[in-house]
Amino acid sequence: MDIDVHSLYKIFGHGPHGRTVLKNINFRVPSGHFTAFVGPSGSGKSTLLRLLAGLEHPSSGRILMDGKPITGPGPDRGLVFQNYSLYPWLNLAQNVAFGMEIQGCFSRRDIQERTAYFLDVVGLADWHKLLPRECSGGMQQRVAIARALAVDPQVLLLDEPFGALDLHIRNSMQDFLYRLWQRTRLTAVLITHDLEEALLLAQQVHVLAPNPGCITHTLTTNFNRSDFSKLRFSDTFLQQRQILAQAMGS
Amino acid sequence: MPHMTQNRLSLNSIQSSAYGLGLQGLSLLLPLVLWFVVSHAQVVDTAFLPSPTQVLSSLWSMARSGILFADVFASLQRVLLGFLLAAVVGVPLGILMGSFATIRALLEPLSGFLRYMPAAAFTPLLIIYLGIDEAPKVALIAIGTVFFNMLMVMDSVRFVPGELIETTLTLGGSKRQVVTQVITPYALPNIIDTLRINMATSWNLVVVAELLAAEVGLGKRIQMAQRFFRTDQIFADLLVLGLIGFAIDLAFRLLLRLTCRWAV
Repeated sequence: MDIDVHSLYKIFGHGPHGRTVLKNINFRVPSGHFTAFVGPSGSGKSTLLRLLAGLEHPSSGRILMDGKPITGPGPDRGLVFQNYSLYPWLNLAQNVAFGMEIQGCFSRRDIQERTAYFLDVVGLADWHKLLPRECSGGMQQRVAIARALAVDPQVLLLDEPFGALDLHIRNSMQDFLYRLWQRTRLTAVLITHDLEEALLLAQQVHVLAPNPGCITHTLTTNFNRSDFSKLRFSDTFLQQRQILAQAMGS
Repeated sequence: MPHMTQNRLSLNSIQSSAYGLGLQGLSLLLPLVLWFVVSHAQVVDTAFLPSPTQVLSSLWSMARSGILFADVFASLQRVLLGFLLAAVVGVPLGILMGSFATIRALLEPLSGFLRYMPAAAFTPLLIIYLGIDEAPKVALIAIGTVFFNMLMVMDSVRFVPGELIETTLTLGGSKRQVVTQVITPYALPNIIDTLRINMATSWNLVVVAELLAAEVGLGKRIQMAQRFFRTDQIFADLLVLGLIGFAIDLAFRLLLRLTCRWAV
């Protein structure tokens, strides 16, 4: 699904007390591409993702999905939050199945097969009966991703998905997410403050500057992503990273 | 968080479970021993403070004559009916108030205001409207409990994380499904706890309700006993009131453990 954003503004509050959070945002994510937004806190990057999800409405400007304006949240755009947000009374399999259950358009057999499939994709097939509180943060986040994928979205929106994880697990989750994206070829939008994460995963990285949030720099990457652990320390990668850091600093 | 048994602040800790049970036993045993000592030392006239043995024998004679069970049955029936009414009305309204800003704006000021009118003060009106049978007693208990239910359930609904609700919307859930399949199960442990706490209010009100016009009931019996200066019966009925309340409290805790394993 193509995402087109035209002269998007988001202002919280009214009149003289209004606070402009996003100012004149323009970008395009072609179908099947992975785009990242980096920026310090206060740059409105979470607000931008909430707008794409349909949880907030633009103050002005347009957000188009395949040419059609979005009207609200919907299962065509899966959302993954930093804090996993699993249903604590449901086990992992029931969490993955939940979206399909409430939509009512999946058959019982479909739900079972898809739940098993996506639990397997995220490597948690053997743990499907655990409750979220019995799982590590990394496991919980993989369930949240599986739950978002299970309802067959065309866009995956990720809000600092690995921000709460420790460094070691974060690295393996980045690896996991990239391979998952290669396999599904979903249109993906990632919000992060981790420059390395953005460069590793996304083909296009936008830098958001704060007060009010606006895109100040856009970088297109073209790395050989076969091995993240090598890529992280390659010269071209580190150069790009420095460019991004400078763009964020200025 | 609904995880009531976790994150509980305590400045010290109990090392072994036997030690803990011992302390809990002591909390019941110590007043009992004190009562024994004071009543046997004859410091206070037995007409004012009957001895534990007097109270027990009075309890036994009431049990044997069948009065006790008639009283317990009558009081329990009133409490359960009133409490059930207050729960059936209060819990859904509380959930809706917690979920929808419009319903909250419509009902919160009213219930916050009515909550401060003492339920007992409604008795004359209830007698005029409903007569002197069971109806006014049940209504009194329901009125005295329902507004607490509404406001406390509303508050527990506010603990549901916004991200969980938003996740559900992006999974294709409707507002109705968010209320019934996300907010309600998430708040359920707190709702059960609210009902447990407010059961005590219902149980207190039954005594007030029976003061107006009742043939049987534990509250009625206490009032009659006062007329005949039977402090032993008053003590016996008080004990029974406390024991039943305690048993109901335990039943609610058990219900919470059985239905919400994820939260306990």
